[in-house]
Amino acid sequence: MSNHKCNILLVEPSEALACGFTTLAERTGEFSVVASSSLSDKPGNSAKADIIVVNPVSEGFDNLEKLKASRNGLKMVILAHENYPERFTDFFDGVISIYDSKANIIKKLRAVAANSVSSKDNDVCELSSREKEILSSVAKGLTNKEIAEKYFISVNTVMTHRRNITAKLGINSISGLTVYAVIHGLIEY
Amino acid sequence: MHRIQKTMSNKESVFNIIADIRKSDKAPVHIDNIDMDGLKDLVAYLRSSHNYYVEICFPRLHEAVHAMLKDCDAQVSAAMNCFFDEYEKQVFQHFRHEEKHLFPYADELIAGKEIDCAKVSSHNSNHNHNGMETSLKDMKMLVINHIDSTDKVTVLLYLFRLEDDIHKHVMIEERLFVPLLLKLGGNNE
Repeated sequence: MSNHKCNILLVEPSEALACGFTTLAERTGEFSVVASSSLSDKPGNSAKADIIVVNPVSEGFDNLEKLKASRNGLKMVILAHENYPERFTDFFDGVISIYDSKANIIKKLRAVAANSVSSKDNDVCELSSREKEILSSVAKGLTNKEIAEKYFISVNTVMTHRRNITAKLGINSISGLTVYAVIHGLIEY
Repeated sequence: MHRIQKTMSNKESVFNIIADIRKSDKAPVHIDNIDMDGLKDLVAYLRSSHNYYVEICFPRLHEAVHAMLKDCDAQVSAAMNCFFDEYEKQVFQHFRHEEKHLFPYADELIAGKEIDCAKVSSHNSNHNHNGMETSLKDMKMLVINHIDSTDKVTVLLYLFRLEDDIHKHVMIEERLFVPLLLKLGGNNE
């Protein structure tokens, strides 16, 4: 494990929560936190961040999805003040509830950070289970709209998943993705 | 190579330009001194190149792909063979399109007839090579990362050579053949 601290950008309008989260994460010595009240506040901060922990209420799930999709390898964790439907949070790398215990918050952050390091080290990343589902649907010839309806997600989210799959595998054509799906047993040929 | 040199009447210029492009696809291309004889040699070279890919390169690659897949799972083997066949079909279609829609303009010019330069430009702009390049890249990624066979090195060797070769072939068509057709056809834009 390197001595490099994992950079977190915390986007949380509540100063009290931001202060508490920052203290908790930085006390471990593993994370360096920059807190901001909104993503547009200092755009440079999001470029430097390994993980963005964000309260989705102020930013909107759609904007967050677009930001995450725009940078390969960027990890994004939802700081949840309430319960959100899975179809909203599914796309992100984790959900931390403001009511989680201190130990649980650190555990979740470490899990995401470990993933973030490994994804930088490996050119060929493992696909998430949702990405595998989307890929097998693409290989079976379903359209984006059909896939969105099947998994109760938006067409935008399907497209973002597809972009991520292509970026991870380095395979662009549907025929190539189909062969990948057959090789890995995701579909039968 | 000797054959090409021998059949070239306007040896110096056309042969030198082809050699320059094959050495670096960014090499400057000057077509001012090339006349109808040069075009005749160039179209003969391009037709011979197509024959070389169809009769030598692809059968060789086909054989190597079969050898690589012989110990693979039947489904993987079928999917990969199908992908390769599709790619081959795509490349041959591309050749046929040029032989049917672009090379005849050269034949007409050589026979002293006039050609419609606007049609040449339109055929050329409607005919892009991106699909072919994407399929080849996907095939490389699949073979490198997802096919488990000791024979894959030969396939990769052929694929890398083919990729470079076809790229340069396309450059010769786009940077030398089409501009020359337009120049000799009277389009001085």
